[in-house]
Amino acid sequence: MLVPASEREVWSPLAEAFERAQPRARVELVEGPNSTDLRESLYTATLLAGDDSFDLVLMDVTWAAKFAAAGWLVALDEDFRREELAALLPQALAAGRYAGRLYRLPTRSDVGVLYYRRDWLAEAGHEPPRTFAQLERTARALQRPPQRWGFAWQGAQYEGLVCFFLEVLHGHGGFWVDPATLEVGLDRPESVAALEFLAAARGGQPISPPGVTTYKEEESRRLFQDGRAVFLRNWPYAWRLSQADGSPLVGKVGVQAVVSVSGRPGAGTLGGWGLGVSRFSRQRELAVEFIRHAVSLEGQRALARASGYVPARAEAMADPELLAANPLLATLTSIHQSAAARPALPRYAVASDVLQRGLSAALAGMASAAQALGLAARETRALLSGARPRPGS
Amino acid sequence: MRRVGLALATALLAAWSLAPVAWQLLTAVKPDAQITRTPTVYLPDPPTSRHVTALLARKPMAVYLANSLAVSAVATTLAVGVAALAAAALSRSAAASRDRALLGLLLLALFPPILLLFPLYEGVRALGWVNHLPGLALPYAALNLPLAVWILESGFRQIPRELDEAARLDGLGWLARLARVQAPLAAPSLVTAAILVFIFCWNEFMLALTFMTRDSHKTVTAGIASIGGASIYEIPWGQLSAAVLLATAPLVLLVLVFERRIAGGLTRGAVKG
Amino acid sequence: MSSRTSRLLLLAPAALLVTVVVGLPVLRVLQLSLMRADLDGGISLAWGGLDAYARLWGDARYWTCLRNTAVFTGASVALETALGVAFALVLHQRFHGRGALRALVLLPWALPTAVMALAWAWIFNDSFGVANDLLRRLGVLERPVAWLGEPATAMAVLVLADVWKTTPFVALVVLAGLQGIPEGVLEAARVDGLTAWQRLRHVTLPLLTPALLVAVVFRAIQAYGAFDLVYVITGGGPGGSTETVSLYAFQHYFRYLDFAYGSAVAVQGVLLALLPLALLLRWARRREAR
Repeated sequence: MLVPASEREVWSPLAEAFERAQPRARVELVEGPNSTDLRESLYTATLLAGDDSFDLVLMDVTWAAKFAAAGWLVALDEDFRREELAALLPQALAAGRYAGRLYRLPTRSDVGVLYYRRDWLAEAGHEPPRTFAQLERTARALQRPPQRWGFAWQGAQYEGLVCFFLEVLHGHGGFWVDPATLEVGLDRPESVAALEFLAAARGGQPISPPGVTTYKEEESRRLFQDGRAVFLRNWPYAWRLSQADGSPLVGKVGVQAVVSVSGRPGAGTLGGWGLGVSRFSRQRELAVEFIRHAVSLEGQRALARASGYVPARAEAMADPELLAANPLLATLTSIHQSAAARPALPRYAVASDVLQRGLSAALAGMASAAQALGLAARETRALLSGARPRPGS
Repeated sequence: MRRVGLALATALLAAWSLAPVAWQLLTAVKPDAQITRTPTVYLPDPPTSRHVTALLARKPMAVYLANSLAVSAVATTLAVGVAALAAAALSRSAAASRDRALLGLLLLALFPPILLLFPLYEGVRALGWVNHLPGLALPYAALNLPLAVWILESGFRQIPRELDEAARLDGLGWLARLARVQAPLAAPSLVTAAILVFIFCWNEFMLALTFMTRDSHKTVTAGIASIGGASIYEIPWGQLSAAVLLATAPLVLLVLVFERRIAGGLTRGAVKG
Repeated sequence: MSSRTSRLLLLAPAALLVTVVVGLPVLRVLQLSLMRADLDGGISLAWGGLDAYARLWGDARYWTCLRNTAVFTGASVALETALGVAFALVLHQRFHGRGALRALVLLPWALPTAVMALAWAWIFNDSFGVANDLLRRLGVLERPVAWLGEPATAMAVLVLADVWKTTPFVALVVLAGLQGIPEGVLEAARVDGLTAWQRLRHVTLPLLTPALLVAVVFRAIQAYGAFDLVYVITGGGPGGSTETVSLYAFQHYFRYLDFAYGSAVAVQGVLLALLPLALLLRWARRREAR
């Protein structure tokens, strides 16, 4: 299977353990580029050509619907018992379903969270924010631009922007696409308000640096890591790096669920990776066995131990050894309950690109929030008009 | 006055070409913490060889370099060789048919290679050439053929017909004429075309990434793309810069070796004689 | 063996190589552009006729891409040509260390695009980039500029990165052409009393037309098809303002799995690029005849 080169050491122990347990099997980890998009293209090229070089497909949360709709994945419903599936985090598992069948089992989950400088907030007597208004107020009070900014997030034109925007969108009561009815909610007043909040965060009287529209995960994390931001929205991986030896942020960082207008914890966007089996594989049974191994408790512990990432299995989240290494797991369990997945559409990539461009245009000041979202909504409706609503997804 | 102008021009030229490269060099020896510090740290303090050693330990750079060399050398030889034959023929053709041929080649070159990626992949796969040298070398040679032919045709056309006639009257066949008379005179064009094609092959990314998936077969560009950091979001600048420099050094050496040929000047002698 | 037969024989390998390895894929792309790809329980290809092309005409995003590509190509090629000729003229002079300088000048071309693109993105990062830092220190900027966050500056960065990388290509081709100009012609012009500038304009440049043509035409084609640079530095952003035709087609192929439409984008783009190209060639041929 194709793995990002930086994760080779993450998967090796698991692969070796599997090979010991199954003497007939040999797991080949092909190192690919770290860029998610490039790996997606590589998988696409091979699957499109009907190639059997990859038996297992390591998929991002958004690829399952597309690959399944293209007929490249084997349905795995029959191969796993109900108990085995119940042990996995329900949202993560649901992301692997399409048209009512299961195509991907999660091996690792992720959810968007809000980081903040506990020390600065305490020093100024601010409570961690519950609403957008509080977030803005605290950010504005504690920032000293351009040395220190209030709120760092991912605003570049890429999938990460969609992940982040969805949190703000849901927090304002809006929605993108309802996968059951295929209704598009981008041009509702709540949705427009959400985008206006972000656009205001960057323009006019900013709480975010103007360059935030070029930031992806690393740039925004760096800003926070260097002590130049009060709040950061990012994935859990940033926690581990901020608490590593030698980091100036040890003990100074708080993590919580993203905020909402109502004050209740918002819905972080669900991320994560999982495994599926290629239809062209000639080792179907062994591939399924490998997946079984990877989602088992030992497998999940091995993966989480090697990578520091969040496991996709509930028990693993409570595992004492993992908790000791990564105390954040305790908080993440509850945050995960309300994680929101992105709509599982076969044409998700097109819809995402439409939204990305609209958001980016509004953030860069090329269009107003209402205009941008209005256009995006129209394009998305046109896109979905050819599709059929899928029950059970 | 002229000398001052020239000195200034060369200095600017060197600075323009070198600045980003120098930046890469500095990054390759800077400790991680200093790479991403603000305000920008210009000079590493102290310089570290950790990136280079980590890179060499982690990735089989020698293998990648060898693969790149093999693919590029084969593709370049093929492209320039075949192009030389074609250019020799075209330079002696009637203007109308020559222009038609050149235009036809241009038309095919108009297609961005990235968009031919998929059909090429289908073809290469059907022939079983994924992770095999011909799978990359042949497309590279073909994609560069139009450029090579155009450059060489220009060079061949500058050779005075009298020389060619003289050689024919001396009883030399077309191959001998090509090898002993035309090629040496068109040396600057040949070297130019060869260098440009070689560099293209060396640096090509998307096809190399798609057609060579096994580590043992990867070229240097595909290898660099898989240099990992602590997470999939992180870009390991230190190692990346080190890799880029390692990957480019052979090219620079190559050019240095052949740059005398770029100097040319042989044409003048031939015309006077 | 007649000279015509020998000429055809000489042309055969090239024709074969190019027809099979490039021509066939091009035909496949043409074929795909006339199909319709449906993603639903498998990718099915059905005959679509000119549907994809009709769809293109109404596709606002496509026209934006065309405009972006035109701007990028035009700006890049213009700058590269001017700089490339200047570089070639300098490199043609005789002085110490000329060889080393020639190798140096080739460096930008020799560095792999995909990685240098990453470097450029980092250099122009608003908070951490060297560009802002340098400009601030030099007093040119007061506040950091979000280079890649605004449409105009993002395009400027792309053009700069492209010009930096490919000027050596132009320089090298033009240099080879300069070497072909007999010394005698320039001597005669000097004896006739023409100044350096006049010699350049009325003698050198016209004689360089064939080399310039090769450089400009191929650079234009390469800039038009530029992918790696745009993909890595901006990904088409912000707001789709730097999305080029190749990027758009690529997205359709590999992200949307709609390769019928992607092929139509590619073919249509090529057809549209033919027009300026044909004009350029005709102008050049006419000049050469003079």
